[in-house]
Order: sequence, then C-alpha cells, then structure tokens
Amino acid sequence: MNKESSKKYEYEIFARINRGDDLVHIGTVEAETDNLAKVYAAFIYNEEDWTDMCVIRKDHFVWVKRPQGLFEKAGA
Amino acid sequence: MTQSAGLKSFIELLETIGDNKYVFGDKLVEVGVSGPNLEATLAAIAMAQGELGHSRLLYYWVFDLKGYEGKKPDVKGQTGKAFRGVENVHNWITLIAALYTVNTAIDLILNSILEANRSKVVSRVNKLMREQKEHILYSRGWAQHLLEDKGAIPRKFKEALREITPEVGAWLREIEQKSELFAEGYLAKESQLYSKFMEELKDVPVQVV
Repeated sequence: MNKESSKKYEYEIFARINRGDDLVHIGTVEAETDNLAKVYAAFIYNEEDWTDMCVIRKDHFVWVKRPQGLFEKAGA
Repeated sequence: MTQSAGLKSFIELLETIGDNKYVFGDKLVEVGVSGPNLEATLAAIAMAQGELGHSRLLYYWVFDLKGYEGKKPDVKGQTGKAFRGVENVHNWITLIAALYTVNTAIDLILNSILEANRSKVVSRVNKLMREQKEHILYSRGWAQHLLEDKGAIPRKFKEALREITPEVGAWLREIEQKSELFAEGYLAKESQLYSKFMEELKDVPVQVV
C-alpha cells in the first residue's frame, strides 16, 4: 500500500471485564478509519470476554490537563 | 435416511458456505501473514481461526442433517464446493475482494435461513453471524481503503472485484432457482438474495457487473 495515501490515526482502547467494573485502558491500535479500529481492537485484544470495549481516536480526546514545561517536549 | 430434495439442496448450500470458510481460514493465514501493516495482519490471523471455526460448525450441522449420531467424523478437507475466486486468492487485494463479496453473500443466506426457521437454527448460527459481521466490517473497511489508495492499487482491486462478483452472484441466482429450499422452509420466501447482494455492494462504489 502507498504510505502517503494510508493516513493512519492512533486509537486508545478502553474495556471492562464485568459489568460494574471500571473502564480501563488496555492498549492502542493504529487504523485508517473508526471501523477498522473497532475490528482491530476486537481481534487483537481478545484475551478476555469483555463486557464493554471502546476505541477513541487520540486526537479526539478532550484534555482537562496536560503536562507543561520540561515534560511537554518529551510527550509524557 | 432418505433425503428430500429440499434437504439435499440445503446440505449442498451449507457445504458450499463451509468450504469457502474453510479455504478462507487458510488464505487469511497464507496471505494475511504478510498484510500491509501489523494490525491488519494480527486481525487476519485471528479471523482465520474464526473462519475455520465457522466451517467446522457448518460441517457438523451437515453431519447432523445427514443423520450422524455420536462422535462426528474428522474434517480433513473441504468438499470441493469452494469458489474458484476464493481458491485463487493469492495476494492482499484478491483476499479482500473475495472476503468482502463472499461473506456478504453468506450473511444474506444465513439471514434468510434464520428468518425461515429462527427457533431451530438461532443457537447454531447466532455466534457465527455476530463474528461474521466483524469480518465484513474489516473487509469492507479495507475495500474502501484500497479504492482510495494511489497508483495501480484501486484499478487492481476493481479488477479483483469484477473477477469474483459474477461467480458469487451466479451462486445466489442458482439458490433462488431452487424452489425446494423455499417450499420446504429452509430459506425464507421473498429472500431476493441477488438483488440484496448487489445493493450491499454499493457500499464499495465499483461497477462490478
């Protein structure tokens, strides 16, 4: 596939094992579309029978607080 | 055990679906292992297991319909009904074209089977159909992506779609001609498999026939 035409986005994946559990961050995937991100997450992170699973494109996060100063450049 | 015409056709139908899924199981590993990126490759390998599981479930269903009791025979290969276009899958482009068209058609048939006889078959096909939706989502997503790619890829993908779609379409038309399947309640009447199939393919905008 041509690299210049394959614009990929990074998605964070959250899931919970049982109802009532906390939604926890379990990993990331890179995908071209939301639908492909959903499928990749379902197939790659299939080690549990998750009750809920969602993917969120990283640049769609609404940040409340971000690191400043020294750590900003390091992306921490 | 005497088989009615409807049962014979239904067994043939299930074997055709099972055979295609059996071959997909191999192709998803053979071709998918060198997929265009890590995520696509991992998903293809996981999906291969799913396709093989689906084929085993369908073969076991056929054994039940044929009257086998107790331990089912080992499945050592397909029954020879897989499509030429599926057996000829040799690269990522032909894999996505085949996976998308064939699974879309299979989904329509299973929906028709479910509609005709929900209480008896729901436990057999429910999980299969749920998983298959993900396989279709995957292949449709990749189909759209390949069409938007640069260079020769969109053209080659269109060629692959044009190659396999008539074969799948002909199979659906053939099923529609088998009145015994509808008369004996194996498929829902007014299923309109072929026209629904062509409608579904509009999600990937290519003139395929």
